[in-house]
Amino acid sequence: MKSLAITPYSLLIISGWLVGVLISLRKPRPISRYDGFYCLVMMMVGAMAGGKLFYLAINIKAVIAEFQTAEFAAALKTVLSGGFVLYGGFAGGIAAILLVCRTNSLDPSVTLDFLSPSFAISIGIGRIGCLLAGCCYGRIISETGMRFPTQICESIFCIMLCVFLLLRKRNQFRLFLLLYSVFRFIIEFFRGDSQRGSLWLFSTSQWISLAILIALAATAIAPRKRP
Amino acid sequence: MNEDSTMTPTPTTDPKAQGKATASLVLGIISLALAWFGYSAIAGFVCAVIGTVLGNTAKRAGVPYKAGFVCSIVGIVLNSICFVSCVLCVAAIGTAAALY
Repeated sequence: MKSLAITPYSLLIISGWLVGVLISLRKPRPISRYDGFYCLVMMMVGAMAGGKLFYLAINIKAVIAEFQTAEFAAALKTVLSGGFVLYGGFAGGIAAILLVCRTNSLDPSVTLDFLSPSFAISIGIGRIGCLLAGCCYGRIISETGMRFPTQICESIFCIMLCVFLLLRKRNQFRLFLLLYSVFRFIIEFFRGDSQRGSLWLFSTSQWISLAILIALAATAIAPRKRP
Repeated sequence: MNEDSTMTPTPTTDPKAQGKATASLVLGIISLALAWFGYSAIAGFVCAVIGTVLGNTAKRAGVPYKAGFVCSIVGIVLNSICFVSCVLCVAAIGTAAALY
């Protein structure tokens, strides 16, 4: 029988999710323990699907070329082996949570606020998995070939963000989006991995960060215009 | 008082809901079996997700759901670990082949 290798990357991603689940058990909780857990399960499913779809969308030309040149099974294996994009996973996860809110009659803003520290810690621990897998690395910053430790920086930032969100009483989701987008926009300048999409001045993730910041600003201004 | 008990709907004997709970259990067990054979983890992952959703539907209808729900969630976790590991192994082999 073929042996099955378990990589530290997948173990750390699942560990991050499990710590997120543990954080969602804290009290007081505005949603039931079952609903919180179910939201996080569906978030993981949505994140995996969204992360992979986003990766395929960014590398669509390479994907089409692969299917045209190689056999279907081999091309499928190559395409699946590509990886995941965090912002795609994030969008998929949020979409899944909104779907659960609809089916289980939950308030989306309350649910997202309550689960925000879990999102932050999941990313923080997941990035340690990136470090061990050797992906998402920084650019070379010295003549000895030393790279900027982007994974460690992001991990530390997300763990601190989780603690900060746990201390807050409201608007945690907005704060999470704001702080993470700003941080991600800056850290992207130090990234050195070539297998990422970019457009004009910025990388895809920086454009998404900017879009999130503009959307946050628009929603912050919008209520004031209402009579 | 347990806060979850307030959320529990009145027990029902709706055969459709009971069928969903049974389907959830069956899919959960299938997903657990499929986790161990490389790329079959993708099929196992899909089965586990459907099982979890059916378990949630059964819970809302008030029929016993826990066995199927728990099996399906364990299935999601196991299949995720195995699938991501499988994907990374292929990626690592591809990178190594490109380097040499």
